[in-house]
Amino acid sequence: MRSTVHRVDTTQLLKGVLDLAVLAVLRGEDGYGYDILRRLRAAGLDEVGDASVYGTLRRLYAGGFLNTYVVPSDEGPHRKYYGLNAAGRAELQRSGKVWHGFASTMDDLLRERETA
Amino acid sequence: MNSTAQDEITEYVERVRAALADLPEATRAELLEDLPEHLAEIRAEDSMTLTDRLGSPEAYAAELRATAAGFVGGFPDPPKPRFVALHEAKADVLRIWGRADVKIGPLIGYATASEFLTLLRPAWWVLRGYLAAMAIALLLDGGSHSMGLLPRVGNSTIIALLLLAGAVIGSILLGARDPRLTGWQRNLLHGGTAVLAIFALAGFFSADSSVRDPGYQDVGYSGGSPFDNVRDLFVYDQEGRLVPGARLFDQEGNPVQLGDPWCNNPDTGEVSHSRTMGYPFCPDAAPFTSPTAGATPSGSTTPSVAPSAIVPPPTPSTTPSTTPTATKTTSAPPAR
Repeated sequence: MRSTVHRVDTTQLLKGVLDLAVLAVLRGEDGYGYDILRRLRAAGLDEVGDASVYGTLRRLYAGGFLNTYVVPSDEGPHRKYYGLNAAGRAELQRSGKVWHGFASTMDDLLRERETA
Repeated sequence: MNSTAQDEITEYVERVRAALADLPEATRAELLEDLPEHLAEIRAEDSMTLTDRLGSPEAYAAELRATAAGFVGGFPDPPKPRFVALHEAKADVLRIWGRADVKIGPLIGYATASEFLTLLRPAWWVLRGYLAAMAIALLLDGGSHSMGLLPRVGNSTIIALLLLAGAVIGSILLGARDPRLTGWQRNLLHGGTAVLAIFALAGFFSADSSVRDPGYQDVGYSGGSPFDNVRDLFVYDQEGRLVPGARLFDQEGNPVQLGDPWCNNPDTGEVSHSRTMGYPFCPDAAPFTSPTAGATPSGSTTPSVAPSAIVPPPTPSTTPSTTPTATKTTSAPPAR
């Protein structure tokens, strides 16, 4: 029955919150794909992969949460920048609230179990 | 960019595409649309090959597939421009509300106003159930009866109570499920709630105005008065004699106006204006006649009779208290 146990690991957790993480790193400053990946890793999400970030950006853009524009680069190809629009900011706020609620619930739950 | 790098990107994209062959064409196109440009950006970061940096195209495809897993049947359509304006307006309103929320909260003893409103939620569910029951009753009843406070269908109180209980319980269950609803179900619920709120406002105002002004009632006008059918008034004294030229007053001293001063001659069918002051307008039409005529039961118990108003010829009745005009009218030939 090992297969029924969901072991908690960062990759699994990340699946649920990658959208929120990408929206969060775009809150302050627009960025292009690889730049966003670097910001996520610098923030401590070491296990996030490039395909995940690329796919998430595509999906958020298709969902109407991001705007995009191309910036020419001197040393290489054009870079496609992504930034939050109003819907993206609203979604960041909404999802952020959900996350805070969820995280504090889990914190309380773990604390209760430890003190019990 | 040199051609080797370009070839490398093209090959990498093709292998990713092949690995995603089982996805619907639209989803795959959405996923791959920007991939060559994206890989070009990455390739330009340093001299590492794509496979060294990103792993095999198949692994990349698997990770990409996972990000699209939540979207069965492809990506959602981007919102249309008019919705963008709407979204921005909504974000503005939310920002203003967010500020007001924090400011108002402490005034009523809570951290935020929404914290207080959240506590009121179950009360709203009950009220919503009641409103829904009223709306259903109104639809089913078709407005054939005037609405009271219970959602009656066909004047049945039992149905009203059952409907009320069902709607309230349903509303509470829906309220508890609300956070778990998604997409159209949630929109349907919220849209229905908005319609219900508008219905409630309309119903509330109409109920308010019908309580404040329960129909115009005045003697002599049609409006449910019990005197609607009164056309003329006949006053008899304790001797059973018809009192001519009687005047009626209410407790305020205001004259009471009943009936209309028109007389119908039963022989000719002519209608003419009454010539009398006070009641009766038409002395000829008195319902009770003198016991000598043997017409009425009430008259028969009275020993003395009223000689006036029975026979067409004018009777010189003694009316000491009446005005001269009244005397004149009683002695005048009866209205034709």
